[in-house]
Amino acid sequence: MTITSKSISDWLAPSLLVSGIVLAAWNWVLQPDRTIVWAVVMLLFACMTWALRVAMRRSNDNGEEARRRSDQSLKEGVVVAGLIMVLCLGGVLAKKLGMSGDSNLSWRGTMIILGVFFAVTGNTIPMGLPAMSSLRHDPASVQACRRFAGWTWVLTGVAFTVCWLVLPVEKAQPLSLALLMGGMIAILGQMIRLRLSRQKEA
Amino acid sequence: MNLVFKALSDPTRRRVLQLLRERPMLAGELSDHFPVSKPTMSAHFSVLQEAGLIDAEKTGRTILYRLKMSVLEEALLGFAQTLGWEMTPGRETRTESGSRKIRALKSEA
Repeated sequence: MTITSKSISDWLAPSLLVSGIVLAAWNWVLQPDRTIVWAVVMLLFACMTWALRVAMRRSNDNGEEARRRSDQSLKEGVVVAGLIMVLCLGGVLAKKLGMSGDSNLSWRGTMIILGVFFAVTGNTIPMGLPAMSSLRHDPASVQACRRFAGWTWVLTGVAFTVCWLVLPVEKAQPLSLALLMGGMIAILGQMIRLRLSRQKEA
Repeated sequence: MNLVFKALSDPTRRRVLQLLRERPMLAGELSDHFPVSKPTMSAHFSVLQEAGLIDAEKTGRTILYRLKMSVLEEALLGFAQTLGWEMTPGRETRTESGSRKIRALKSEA
């Protein structure tokens, strides 16, 4: 699973950055009155390209496991950010060229990607295991808390995605926000419970 | 992913994962739940470790096993448990053939 995601982000991240730069430049040519906006977008792409280059160069060296993992998550972050930006720029361009009738299409797409991102992130939460010696709480409670957070975040992400896939924008917006807040409150509640149980034990 | 399916196809390994869902456990503690020899159990632990479903932490002479499953893998475990996945006879794993040989040797003795 890791190998697949690694190889996907290795080719997807640079191609998304190139597509994004092309789309931003095209938008700039068609709408020269919004120079500042396009300049900021270009600057963002330049920062992302630099970060990706550093991560790719470091991942070629035989570094330690923790650094390799952080480089991999950096690459995956560039993929998600790139995907969102390409979708937004594509939507703006399509609207300008008169190709898209639905003005909310790029917004909807961005939210769907965000929902998938939540689900993917939540999927790996239970796998992050701190060393037993560094644990300040009961190991069973920590494990239960991580599993709860993982499941909650995955279900929140899936519900968020479905919400933006099937509902009209005016209904999807408040409902997805409520889902997100609900998920965050549930995880926070579990973490507070874990902390209180430790204080009780002490 | 193939390793995960292979690991989940055995009822003993599924039971180990279920026990570890409750809390991290020592190798001996886990072995006490099964009527099989220690080498067989350590072969099962190796398969689970190879699939990345559990994590072992050695402290002194004891090994502590912890669950390292993603949400998706846990959902797969739930399905496997409900549907009772088994390996087909022609595709038995080395662990299973090993434990079969041990049982045969024991019965001969």
